Amino acid sequence: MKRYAALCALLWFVGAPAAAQPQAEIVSDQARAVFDRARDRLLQVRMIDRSTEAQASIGSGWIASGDGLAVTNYHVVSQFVLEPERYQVEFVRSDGARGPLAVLAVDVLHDLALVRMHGTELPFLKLHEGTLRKGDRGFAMGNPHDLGLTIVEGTYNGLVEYTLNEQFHFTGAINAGMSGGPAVTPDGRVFGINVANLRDGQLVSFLVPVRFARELLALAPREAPEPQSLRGSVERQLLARQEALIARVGNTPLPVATFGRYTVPDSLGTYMRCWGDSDLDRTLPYEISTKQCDAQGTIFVSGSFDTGDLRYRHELVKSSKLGTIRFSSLYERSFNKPFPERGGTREDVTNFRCNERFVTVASGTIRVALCLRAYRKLKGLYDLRLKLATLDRTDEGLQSWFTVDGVSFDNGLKLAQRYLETFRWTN
Amino acid sequence: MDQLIHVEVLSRTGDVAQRVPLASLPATIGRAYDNDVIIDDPFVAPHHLRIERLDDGNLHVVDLGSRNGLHLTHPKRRVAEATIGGDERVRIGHTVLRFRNRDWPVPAEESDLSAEGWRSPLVTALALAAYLALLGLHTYSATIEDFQPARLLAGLPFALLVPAVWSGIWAAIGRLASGRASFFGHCTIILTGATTAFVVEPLLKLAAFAFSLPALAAESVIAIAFIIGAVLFGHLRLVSRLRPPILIAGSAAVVILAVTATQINSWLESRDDVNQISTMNNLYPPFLRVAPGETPEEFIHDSRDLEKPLLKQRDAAP
Repeated sequence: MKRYAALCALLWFVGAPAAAQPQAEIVSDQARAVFDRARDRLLQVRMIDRSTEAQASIGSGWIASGDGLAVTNYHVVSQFVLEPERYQVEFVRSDGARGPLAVLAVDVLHDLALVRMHGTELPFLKLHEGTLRKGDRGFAMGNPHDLGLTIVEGTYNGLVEYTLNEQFHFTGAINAGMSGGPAVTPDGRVFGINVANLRDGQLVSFLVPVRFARELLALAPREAPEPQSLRGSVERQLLARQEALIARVGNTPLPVATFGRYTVPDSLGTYMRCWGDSDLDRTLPYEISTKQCDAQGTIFVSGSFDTGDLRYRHELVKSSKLGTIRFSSLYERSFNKPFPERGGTREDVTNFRCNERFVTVASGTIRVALCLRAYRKLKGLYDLRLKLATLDRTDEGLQSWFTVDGVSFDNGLKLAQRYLETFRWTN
Repeated sequence: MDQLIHVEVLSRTGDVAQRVPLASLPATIGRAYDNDVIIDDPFVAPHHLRIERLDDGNLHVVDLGSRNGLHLTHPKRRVAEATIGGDERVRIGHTVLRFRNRDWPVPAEESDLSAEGWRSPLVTALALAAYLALLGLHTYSATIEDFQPARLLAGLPFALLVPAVWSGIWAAIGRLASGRASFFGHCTIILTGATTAFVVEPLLKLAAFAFSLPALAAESVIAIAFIIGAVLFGHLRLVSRLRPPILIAGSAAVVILAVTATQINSWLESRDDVNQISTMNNLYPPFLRVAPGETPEEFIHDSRDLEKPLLKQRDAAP
């Protein structure tokens, strides 16, 4: 659902007329002071395509230490991390000075990157200590749509609920190109890093809490690592994340809920957001009810590819009027529904391969299809899809779709087995 | 032994273009008018060949000194003379000849597919009844909304029009090609084909489910192609005078080419779409399941076999 703010090269012209509007009335005096103090500590981060020497995408960043450490988003520099031979990273300061940036470390899970520019005794932004309260005023800065440095006044709204990704909800207009820029308190201290906005929302924006930037700064290596090794660290972080997730849910029976006569897997934790719906169109001779949950934890990998999705959907299909043959047609049509579409290109992943069987669980036999595809650039990670249909009656049945992105082969299968074993029903 | 023989001049396709009876041997063959058999082929000598009967009754041909010579066809070689049987052919110039005795045995007559009884409107009516019954059943079972019998009536004109137009086209071709329209014959062929498809396709789907054979469902297109090939052959047989083996080969070639092209196309598409998940989604009532269920452990264990081909594809160029 979230749209990351960086991939903005295409949007460049869309926002252009807005630049002509007078700014003075929108921005308060306080904002002017904050901006004046911060402007020489802000960076525009440019991804330069080596072959054309033109910018492929742009984001923002900020200087975090006098000796040139700076913070931006992982997704701003992801092209360089995944294909260092094709790209290089540059900064532009508010006075127009520019130079190369070395990527020191990335935190793909929280979408942060630590970069270094040359320089000593540079002006830098200080980090906010302590906590904020809902309603506190904040100022997000960056370079939206390559229109020039901008400050946006907004409201801190606490942690986002129901998600695996710890993020602040910030009510303010964060736009493409501002990714990686700082969100500061009125006294100019960074409390979050601009990361995303909600595509269909009104001013609903997201910030990475500054504590993750602090952790990254604390571990800053002195020298930039080999560019090729950054991809390995992305791999390791994603593998560690799914290990932790599996450790949390994979070793015990999954929580269950009842759905009609059926016992089905339930929300795996507070990080999942769940919905239910019944299709009660009385002109139709059948009913389909749905229960679905998803963990709001997608992780940006590249412009074409996210990972970290974990979701399932159960559908209860019921009809007392259709009769055996037509119920089969209905049940089959329902089972034909695709999994939620995920991104990825042939460069990112392999094709899916499936194992399809009848499987006998505690209460009887069900039809199961288990499919996996492997990540090409991030070795050891897979996307898993499992779907099943119970075969217990001629007028009712339960079907389920399970999506797990970015797991190891073993953990994926382990989770799939737990999932399968959960289904039971009464006759 | 009866002395009479037939000299047969063969066309390129092997049919007899000209047949000349010879009452007595020896006899001569050539372009000149004083021959027993006259061949209008500029590459044949005025007096090209003599044919005679040997003492043992076999036929013998002798080249009379022509420039282009006497050739056997299997294997191809030039000879000055040769003893030949009724199945062997010789070539002089561009002309292929065969010599047969009067007692040469011929096969029994083939059954006449274009006989009136088979092409009668009554048979067509029966085929139409079967076709409409199965189409109706198919429509009924696939309707998951409230079923209205009027729906069947609404679909009837289209269900009749398609085979009628199709048969009309074939009848027109038949009229042009062999002077015989056989509209009802063509109707019977297409209706029988469609009825067969309505029976075979669901049976294959059911079998794929019952025995848990996803490949069977995926390859049901081959069964349908087979039916289309048979229908094509039937139509061609009615409109053409060509011999059945040629028609079978032609129909098979058309169908194989079409199937191959569509298979390659869908393979390319599914290869490019990394989000595509192709599974067998056929579901039938529980009592039609035949294949046993595995335990979840067995199923997960079997799924480990997916890892090797995935890694192989991963490490190959995208």
